[in-house]
Amino acid sequence: MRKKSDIPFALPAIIVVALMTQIPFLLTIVYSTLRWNLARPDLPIKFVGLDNYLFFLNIPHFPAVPEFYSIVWQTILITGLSLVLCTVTGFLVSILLDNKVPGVNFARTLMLGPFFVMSTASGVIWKTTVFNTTFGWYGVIFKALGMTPVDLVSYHPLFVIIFLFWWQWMPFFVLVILAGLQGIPVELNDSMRIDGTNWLQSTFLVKLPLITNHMQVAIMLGLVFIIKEFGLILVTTAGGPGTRSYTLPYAVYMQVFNASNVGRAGALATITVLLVLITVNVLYRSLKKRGEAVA
Amino acid sequence: MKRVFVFGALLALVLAGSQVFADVTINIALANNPISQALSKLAADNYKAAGVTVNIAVLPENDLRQKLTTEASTGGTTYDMFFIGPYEASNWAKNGWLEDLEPYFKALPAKTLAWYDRADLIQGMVGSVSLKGDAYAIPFYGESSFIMYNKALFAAKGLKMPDQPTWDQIYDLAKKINDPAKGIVGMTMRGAPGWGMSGAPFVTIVNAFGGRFYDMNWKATVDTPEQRAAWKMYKNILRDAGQKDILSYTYNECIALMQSGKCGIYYDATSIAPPLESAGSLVKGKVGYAMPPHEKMTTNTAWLWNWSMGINPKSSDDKKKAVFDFMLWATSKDFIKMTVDTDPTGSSTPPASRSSTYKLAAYKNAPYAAMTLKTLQSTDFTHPTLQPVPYTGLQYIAIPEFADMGTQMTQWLADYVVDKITLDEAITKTNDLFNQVAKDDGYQK
Repeated sequence: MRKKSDIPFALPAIIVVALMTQIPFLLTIVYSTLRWNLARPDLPIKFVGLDNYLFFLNIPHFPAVPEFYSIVWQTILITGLSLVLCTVTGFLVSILLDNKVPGVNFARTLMLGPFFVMSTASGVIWKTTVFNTTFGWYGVIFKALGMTPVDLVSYHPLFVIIFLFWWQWMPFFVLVILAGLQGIPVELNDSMRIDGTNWLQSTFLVKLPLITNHMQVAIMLGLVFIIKEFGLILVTTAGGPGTRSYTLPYAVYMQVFNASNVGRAGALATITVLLVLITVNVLYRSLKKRGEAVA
Repeated sequence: MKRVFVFGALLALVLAGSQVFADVTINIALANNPISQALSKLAADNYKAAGVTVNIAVLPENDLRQKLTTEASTGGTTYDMFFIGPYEASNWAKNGWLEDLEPYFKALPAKTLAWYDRADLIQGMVGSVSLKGDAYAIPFYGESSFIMYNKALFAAKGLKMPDQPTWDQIYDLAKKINDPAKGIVGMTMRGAPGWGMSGAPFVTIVNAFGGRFYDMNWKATVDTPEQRAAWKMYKNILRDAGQKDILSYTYNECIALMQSGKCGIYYDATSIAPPLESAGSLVKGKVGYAMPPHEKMTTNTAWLWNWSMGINPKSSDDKKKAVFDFMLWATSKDFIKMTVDTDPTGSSTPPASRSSTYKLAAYKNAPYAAMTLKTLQSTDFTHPTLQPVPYTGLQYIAIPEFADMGTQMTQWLADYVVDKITLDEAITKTNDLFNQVAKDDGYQK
């Protein structure tokens, strides 16, 4: 009886949440079934079923793989490598900053700096003042050493993007992991010292298992943040050369704002959401399993 | 309770006040180039209209195009004035995305009309942004394309630039000038992808080599020897004699490089010559000008463009009137005179919009004036290629889909230039895309 009467009270909240979160997504799915090009208002908007999805998923000249699959692979590569780098270095830097030495608070503040710089601003700064082979530090230093600098943005776009993602997001990992490390009781540190554990043992066999939950949070949030990162790509490589540093969100942006193709953008956005949901789910389960095993 | 009352009264006063002093604020976005930057500065200091506030944003060209196209196609009102070119104007006027300007001109008092002198606007430019005789935009400045070269570097190597060079000659000269050890770049061109960015020089190279993008039945013709030769030429120049950060170079970087005196040849818009001759430029007085390079096609190998101002039809009537007033000011003889007065080098003066501009002393004597006029006169955007084509446009194909197709083509071009894909792949991808668009959107019958 009581359960029944609860529903009307929860209903407004459920409706608001459903409207706020699900309507845009449902609309995207509807759009993805339409042939709708904003640049051609003279052509009718018509229902085309799954044509827009097939446009991306179809492999007409096998074994030549269409652009879409390269973009999916690039998205996985960029997100995956950035996550691994952020997690490993974030953990090591956190260990370093967990020591009580003079100036550690200052060092922590400096470390967090990149996280608070807008991604578009940091992208422009890195591209023009560092990576530029004529005016940037990189170019100047290489030339001073008698070497010819390679244009990294054009020839190694993935390296540039992954490096910048790492630079931008590693502090976030430090923030979360450091919070975990500082939650480890002082007594435990004392007993480790008394028991004579060395650095490797204390770090990887004691501290790491104790902060698994924090690591999980950092990785999950990091995945969601990094996979949708867009501004950095736009201002540094603009997805180029060609589409070599496109990610799925960037491809969606280009479909809407460059091609004005609402239908195809809708299909691409839906595919992106599905892939992200699946990845997050798989990652969450595996981390949870690992967490339980450690506990 | 008393506090609530006082707060309410204050709020009411503020709201009432804002009604009484209702200002019109118009938002304008311009493309980032030296002449637009000058307009932005002059407008902030000199444009005065009662009750009107003008917000001007200067955006990179690619961003501006994307933003305004989305704005126009979705009926947005973020920007009240559209800063566009003939490519957009021809499509947008048909779609009802631009306000017809004739009623606004008709409503002007005779005195204002006489002051504005509409007949002085260069008619070819006005025609490129009109539909059925009605103006839908007013040209702010126009441009064609030509070769600019550093005479000092040429003299140092004992080289001579022909008046009407071929692309093969340009390549040879660029290679001879190129000297990485001394930091000298042989030739610079836009390398950043985008149909209006690297696409502009590239498509004129294709035209010059006798290539075309479609035959008369809208069948894609990208995979031809002429096209391949053009793709190779663009790559070879930039790889063998061009700037190092090829793909980062928009015209702004090219201008900076040329101004530094460390670049031999530069192929770009005629409107770029004035900044090269401006006070801060290290090559001031040392730049030579030559006709746009040709190859199989011997004339009409330049591009033709103008940046024009149109009104967003979705804006409110007050804003439309304010925008029209601003457009008249920015395209008037007075404005042009003001630019010459504030910057006698002519580098802030909008070229190729009014005939009277060329009677001004700063222009008559400018080293690039004669060649600019000669190049402008050599262009015909209705017959862009050697063989007949079903489209118009010199550095673009005047169909709405080209913004996307052209951009994708230049992305593959960029890929090819830095060896990420082969020429075969780039050509096949482009040909397939062009065919698909022609089929999908009903051009192929």
